[in-house]
Amino acid sequence: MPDQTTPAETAAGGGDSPAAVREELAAANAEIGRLRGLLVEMNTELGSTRGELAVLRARSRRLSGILLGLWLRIPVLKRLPDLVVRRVRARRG
Amino acid sequence: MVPRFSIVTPVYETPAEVLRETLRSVAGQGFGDWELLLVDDASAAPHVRKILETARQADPRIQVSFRERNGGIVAASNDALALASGEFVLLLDHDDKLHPDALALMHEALAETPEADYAYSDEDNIDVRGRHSGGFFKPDWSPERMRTQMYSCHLSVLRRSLVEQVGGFDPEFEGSQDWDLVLKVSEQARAVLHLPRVLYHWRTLETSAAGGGEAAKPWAFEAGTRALQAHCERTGVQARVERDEVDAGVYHLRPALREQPLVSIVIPTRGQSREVRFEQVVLVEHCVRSIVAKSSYENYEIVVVADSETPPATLAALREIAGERLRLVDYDRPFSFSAKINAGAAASRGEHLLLLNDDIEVATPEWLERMVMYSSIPEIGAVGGRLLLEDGRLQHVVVRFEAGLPGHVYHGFPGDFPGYANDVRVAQNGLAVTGACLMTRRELFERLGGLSEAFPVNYNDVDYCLKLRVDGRRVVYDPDLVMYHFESSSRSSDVADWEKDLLKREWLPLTAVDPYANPNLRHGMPRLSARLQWMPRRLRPRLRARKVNV
Repeated sequence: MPDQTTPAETAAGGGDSPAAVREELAAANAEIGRLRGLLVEMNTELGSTRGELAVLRARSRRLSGILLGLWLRIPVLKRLPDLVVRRVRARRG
Repeated sequence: MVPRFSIVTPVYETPAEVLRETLRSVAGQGFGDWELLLVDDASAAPHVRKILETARQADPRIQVSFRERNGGIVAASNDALALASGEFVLLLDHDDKLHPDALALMHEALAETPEADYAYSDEDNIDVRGRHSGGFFKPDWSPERMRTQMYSCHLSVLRRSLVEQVGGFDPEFEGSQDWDLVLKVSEQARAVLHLPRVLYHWRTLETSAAGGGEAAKPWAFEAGTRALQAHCERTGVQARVERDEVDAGVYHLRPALREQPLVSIVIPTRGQSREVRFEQVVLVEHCVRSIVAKSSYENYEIVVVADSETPPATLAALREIAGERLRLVDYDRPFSFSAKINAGAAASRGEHLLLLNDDIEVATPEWLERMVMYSSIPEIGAVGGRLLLEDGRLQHVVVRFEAGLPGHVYHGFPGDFPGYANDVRVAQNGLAVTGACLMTRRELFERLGGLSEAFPVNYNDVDYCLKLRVDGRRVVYDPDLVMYHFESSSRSSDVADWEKDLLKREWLPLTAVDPYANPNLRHGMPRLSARLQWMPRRLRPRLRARKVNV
C-alpha cells in the first residue's frame, strides 16, 4: 500500500516534490484499477448466479405450466378444493 | 416389386435378447413394404447365427448374410447395401429399436414430398431394460448445425440411388461413416425432411456411443473430424475442423480464408456515454477501440453514422482511434436505425457489410474471419454470434419465434450455458439473428433494399433476415464468435404494439411455425408430452413432417 498521506494533506503543507505526488497519484490509480478489476470479477460471479437463477425461474415456470395443464385436463383435480372444503365443513358439523 | 424401404443392419456380437428385440421392432411395423438386410460381421457368439437364421425362416422379407472375416461396420454395412433393392435405405443399428409407427410415418411423409432424398426423425435412448430417456428433439434441416454436430443421426432414411451415387459407406471414416454418408447425400439432395417424432430408440449400452460416449469409440470422433473436413473441402467452406475439448460430439470450424475481402463495419451512433465495467465510457469510442485493438483481420473499414448531436470531441476521438480506417457519415434526420444503417452502407465500399451497434465490445480476435467464413458461402445470407451481457450472461444466441413473434432464446442464462442438446455451443440456423452484430453480403443487402425503414427502431433486423429466407438464403448463428453487448444502452428495449402488429402482418405465414424450433420444445426445453413420444401413434397427436428445400 502507498503512503497514507492524502493529496489534501500534501497540499496543506506536506511538502512532497512533484515527482512524489505523481508517484502517489500513479499508485492511487493502480489501486483504483485493482479495485475495479475486483468489482468486475465480482460482477461476473454475480452474473453467473443471476444466470443460474434465470435457469431455475424458467424451470419453475415450466413446472407451473405442466401442473396447470394437468389441473385443467383432469376434472377431478378441478373439483378437489371444493371437495376438501365440503369435507372440512362436514366434519365441523 | 421394389420395396419402399431397405433396412440396413450390420450385426456383430449382439446380446441375444437385444438382437431379438431389434428384430421384433422391425417385424412389428404397421407398414409392411420393407426388406431387412442383416449382415453378420463374423460374430463368434453362436446365438447370433441362430437368431438370424430363425428370423430369415420366419419372414421372407428378411435376408441374412454372414461374412467370413470380421471387416468392421463399414464393410458389413456396404455388404448390406449391396443386397438392397428398396427405394430408400433406412439405417438401423443391431441393438436399437424402431418405433412401431416409424415406417408408416416415414412413408407418409416421403409420399407427401416426392422430391425428398433424405429424411430424419427425433430419437430417444433406451437402456437394456427398455426404459426410455433423453429424447432428442431436433430442428428442421440445419446444414450449419450439421457442420458442428451430427445432430440428425437416428432415424435416417436416404434415397438408395443417391447413396449408391456417392459410393455408399466410406471405410476412411469408419466410426463416423453415417455422418460422412449423410453429409455427402445432403450435398446432392433436392429436399430434406424432418419428422418431429421420436421414431428411433437408441440403446445405451456400455459399448455403444450412446452409452459410453468418447470412451466407447474414441476413433469414431476422430473420424468425424476427418469426415467434416472432407465435407468442407468438397463444399468450399474455408475452414479447418477442430474437436471440442469438453464434448466429444461437438466440433468447431476455424476460419482458413484464402483471401480477406474488404469488410465495412457500419456503426450508427449519437455519441452516448454510460458506465461499462464501473467506468464511464463513450460507447462508440469503446466499441471502435475494441475493434481496433482486438481484430486480427486486416482488411476492414469502420463507417460511423453519427447523429448531428454527437459531440465533436467524440468524433475527434474516433479519428484518433481508427485513423484511416474511419469514415464518418453525418445523419441529421429523425432517428431511424434502419435509415442510419442504409446511409452507412451506401457510403461504404466493402464486399461484406457488418451491422454493429455502438454498445458492442469485441471479445473474439478472429471475429471478422469467422463472419467472413460464413458470409462467403453463397447460400448464407446473414451471420450472427453469441452476445453476452456485461456480467457475462447470455444476451443473444439466435432469434426464435413463438406465436409469430421473435425472442432471444436463453436470454439471461449463464454465459457457459450449453443449451438444449448443446445448441448454444454448436453452430445452427435460425430465422433471424440480432442486428446488433450481423454480417451480410453487400450484393444481397442492396438487392433486398437494405433495412426496411418501416421498422425504424425494432424488428428491422428480423425483417431483413426474413427477406433473406424468402430469397433462399440461410441465417447462421456462430457460437465461437463472442461479443459483449451492453444491451439497449442507447435506446429503450420496449417494443411497441404497432411494431409487433406490423411484423405479424408482414411475416406471419413464415414465422407462425419456426422450423428451427421443434414443436416438442418450449423455450428450449422439452414439453412434458414430448417425453411420452415412445407411445404408439393412436395415443399421440400427429405432428406433420416439415420439408426443407436445399
